[in-house]
Amino acid sequence: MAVVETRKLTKVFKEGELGAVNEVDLETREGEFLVFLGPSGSGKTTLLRMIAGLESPTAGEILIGGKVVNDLTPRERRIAMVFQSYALYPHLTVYNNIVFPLKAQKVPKHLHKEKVEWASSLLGIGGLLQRKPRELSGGERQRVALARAIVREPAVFLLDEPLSNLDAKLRLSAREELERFHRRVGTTTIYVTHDQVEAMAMGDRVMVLNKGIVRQLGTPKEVYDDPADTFVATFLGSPPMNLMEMDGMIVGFRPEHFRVAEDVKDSAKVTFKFRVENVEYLGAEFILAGFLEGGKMDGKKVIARLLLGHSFEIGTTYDFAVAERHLKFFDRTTEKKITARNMAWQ
Amino acid sequence: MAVGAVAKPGKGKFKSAGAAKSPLLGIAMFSPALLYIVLLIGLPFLLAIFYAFSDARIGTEMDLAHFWRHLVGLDNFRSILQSPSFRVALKNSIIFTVSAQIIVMVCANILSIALEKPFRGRGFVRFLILLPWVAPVSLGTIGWKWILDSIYSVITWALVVLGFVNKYSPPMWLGQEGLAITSVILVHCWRLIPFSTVILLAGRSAIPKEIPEAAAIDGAGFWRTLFQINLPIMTPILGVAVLFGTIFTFTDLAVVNLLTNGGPYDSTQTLPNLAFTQGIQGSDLAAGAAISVFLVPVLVVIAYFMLRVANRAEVV
Amino acid sequence: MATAAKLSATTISAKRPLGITAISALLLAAAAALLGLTLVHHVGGLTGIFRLVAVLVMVLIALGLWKLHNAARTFLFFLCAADIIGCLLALFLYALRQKHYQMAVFLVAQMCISAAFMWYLRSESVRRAFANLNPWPTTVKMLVLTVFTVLLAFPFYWMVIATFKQNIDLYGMENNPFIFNLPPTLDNLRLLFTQTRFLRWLENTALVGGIVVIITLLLAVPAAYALARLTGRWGERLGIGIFLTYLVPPTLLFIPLSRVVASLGLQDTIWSLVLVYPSVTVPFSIWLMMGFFKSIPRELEDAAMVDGLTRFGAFIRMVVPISLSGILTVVIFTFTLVTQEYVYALTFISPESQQMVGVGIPIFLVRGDVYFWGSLMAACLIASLPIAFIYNLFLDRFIAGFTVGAVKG
Repeated sequence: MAVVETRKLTKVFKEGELGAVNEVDLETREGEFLVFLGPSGSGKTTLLRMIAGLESPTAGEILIGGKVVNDLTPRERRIAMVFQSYALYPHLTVYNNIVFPLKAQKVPKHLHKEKVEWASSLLGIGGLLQRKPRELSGGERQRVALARAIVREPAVFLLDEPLSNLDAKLRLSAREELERFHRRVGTTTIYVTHDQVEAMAMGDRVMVLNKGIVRQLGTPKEVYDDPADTFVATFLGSPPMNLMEMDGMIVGFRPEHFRVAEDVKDSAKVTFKFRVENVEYLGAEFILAGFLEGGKMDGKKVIARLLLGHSFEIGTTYDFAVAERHLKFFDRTTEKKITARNMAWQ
Repeated sequence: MAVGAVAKPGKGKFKSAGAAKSPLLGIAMFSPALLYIVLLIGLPFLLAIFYAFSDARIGTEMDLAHFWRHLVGLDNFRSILQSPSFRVALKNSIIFTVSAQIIVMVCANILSIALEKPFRGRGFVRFLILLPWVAPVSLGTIGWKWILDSIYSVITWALVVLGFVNKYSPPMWLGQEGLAITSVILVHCWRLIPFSTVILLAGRSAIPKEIPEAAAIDGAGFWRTLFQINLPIMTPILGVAVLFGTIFTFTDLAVVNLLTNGGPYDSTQTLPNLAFTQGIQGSDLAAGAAISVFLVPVLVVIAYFMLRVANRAEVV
Repeated sequence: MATAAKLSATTISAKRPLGITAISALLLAAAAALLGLTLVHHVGGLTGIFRLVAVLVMVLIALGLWKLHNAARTFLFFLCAADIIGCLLALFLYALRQKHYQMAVFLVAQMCISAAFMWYLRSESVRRAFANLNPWPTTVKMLVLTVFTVLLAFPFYWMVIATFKQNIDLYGMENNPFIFNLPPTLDNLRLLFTQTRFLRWLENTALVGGIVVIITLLLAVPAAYALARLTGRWGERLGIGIFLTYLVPPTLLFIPLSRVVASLGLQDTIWSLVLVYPSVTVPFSIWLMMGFFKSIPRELEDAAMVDGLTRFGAFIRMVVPISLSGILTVVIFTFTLVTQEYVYALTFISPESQQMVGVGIPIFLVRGDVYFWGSLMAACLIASLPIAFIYNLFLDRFIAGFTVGAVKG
């Protein structure tokens, strides 16, 4: 187990343009499951590949276990990586796929069999050892890729969007398996994804990236309840946080905190007139879209997310409210969070 | 798919696509080519076999209506099998082909690795490397004829200057048995390397990028990745390259004909050249046909193996 | 690169192994000896230059080894490998055949020494000392490329020179073939264009090439489509069958075809070739286009047919434009096959005015035993360079087309 650290890590592909990764500082904790979360092009995969040694940084340092590894080849860094496509060797059987790293690292031959069996039983693929990758399902391939990674007992696991190739139903069970796997093995893991649900569900901590810059690093609770800027605020949470400009600031509140006025029990709350334009009934909840009426916020589009218990008609205006403690404020120019203010809403 | 209902009525005999398979259209599109192949490959092939068993000569009219009168059984085969020229030609055809293929495969692999990643001037280098393949075979060979000339050879000159060779006893590149064989093989390699390199480049680019990366992370060094990962994945392409290379060398007439014409003393004779010499120049069509018939079994065997290799290897 | 502090992650010994020091010293000594010999014997001219270059190379390698540069180690390694190959060739093709047994023994000894060097350079201690870095530093790659490029392209360089060389210059044994020892001349070109039918041959070749390309496209493209799409299971077998006909070589068919051509009265005309060349180009083109068409999703044609086209209309309007890359590949390949062809042109056509360029040049520029080298080389270049240029332009497309057709087909 080791701690991965980067110091001012930068990768610039084209001179003069903004880098894919810009001065990223991070430090994992022993045994944690850290998620790099961001949209495509945010640099998360580039960052991962630099840690793996597949890309060389333009500037900055990478440390694994306290040692600078910039000049080390991937093999020397004692990391294991699972690619988005799993990158299983198509011409080798599952057994030979898993044994390959052992051969490459010149592990003594008599140990091969037992290590492969250990890894494959850990992932429940003992019966697939003689098959070829193209005969396996997506979920099975993921498990083989994991077995191949674990058999070397690496210091760090790097996972590059391994679930994105699976269909929705499989994704859920595969996700559970990964979580279980991590709990059992306990190796420091870095996981890259663009899916914020995955990030929240799996991560001990989430690092939100955009355009190569770290927006926030924190536990799922921290990035969700206390976003550092508007990007994090809108990227996490579905539907995204409602944001509107007022008095030279940006104010936001999450759809689930925008509720029928009488349901908000806090004494400190802000009320709005909300005209419903669209109702989506999702079985367990409603998604309402509509506009605020009156006051400074007149005409602003807002989305609400409510549990059942009321009925709504399109075109009608209702009294809605948000508890003041759920309001988030952001600076209008920097878009970063600022302390809560007292606002004059009317 | 409500395709049939919407499609316009077909033109003439082309059915509108009610079913996914429109056999009539398929046959119509395929038949011109099929007809051509049957007439210009199939029939001459049968004719060649017929000639091999006949007494055909250039100049004598063949009475095809009563073709059986021309049959002479296995006479032609008997006489060529006894001729030493033929035995040498058969041996040489195989040796030249195998040696050339081995050299070409090694060199083309090295070259394709070096050319894989882009660099400044790569286009120009590729242009230069392509030249031997693109130049018409006869013209390139003529150039080599001078370069390998006994007296004026460019190579001899260079070796003399470097001090390896005595200028008063220069090697007879095309006149001495061992050297002539080497020269023919090397000219074949010279022509084939660009072609094979291009094919292998295509094959390399088809390997998904993540697989060598996974191998690197797994700890494989350069050679292990090459021999245990890259080359096995490239097996079908390698098979294609070897197949084509083999055909080009085995059935080649131009290089041998122009460079040595089988000499010195038949040491570089090959089956195609012998067939041409005896069949056309010597007017003995039957002998020529009989000789060239020997090309077929070897080619079939090679093709069979190559196709099996191509089918067995996987690309997931 | 990273501005980070230097690593010390693995305990790499920066110590120089004893053997490396020894080799380094040996090379320096040899270099000094060679230098001394050259100067003492006043070896001049090109031999002298070569010797000095050799000295320089040896010194560079020695220094590189001393300083533990991986490039030097790799370079020396490959030099030894080349030495072994050279010795093997010389052994089997010269020494043994000529029964120079003394030379043979010497060659074997040399091979053993080189092999020992190679083994040593690969040993663990040496590798560790050289930090086991990338064995393909850019230097090695550049070297490989230079060697191959020179070997493959030098004949053409020589051809360029020879085109403009005066004959006396060419036939001088002492003259450097790679430069102009006498002023260049246009005589060879003049001879080529005025006293031979070179232009006519070029015309013939271009004409035949163009027509054969059209015929091939007309025959092969629909057939490939039919095989790929419409005939289902039979398609596979027929496809392989077509490919196998490609294996029936011209050197087998030229004899019966010569009779066919004669009986059709096409002997000695370019139309004989127009008739016969597609037999060489069509099978391969079908195979190539088949793979190409298979990679086009059927939904495209289905969409077109829903829009009102017939299947054939969908083929013409949708599939063909998309497959332009593959069609281009076929065009280029076909045209090159035509210009390259030797057997049929040689067999079917005798008169000079009807000949193709590939046969005309060797046959008619060689009068008896006299080779008009200058003009021959000029003709080679004029016939080869434009094609090479075009080929290079389309090479990426060609590779793409070939990959789709051959790898995934």
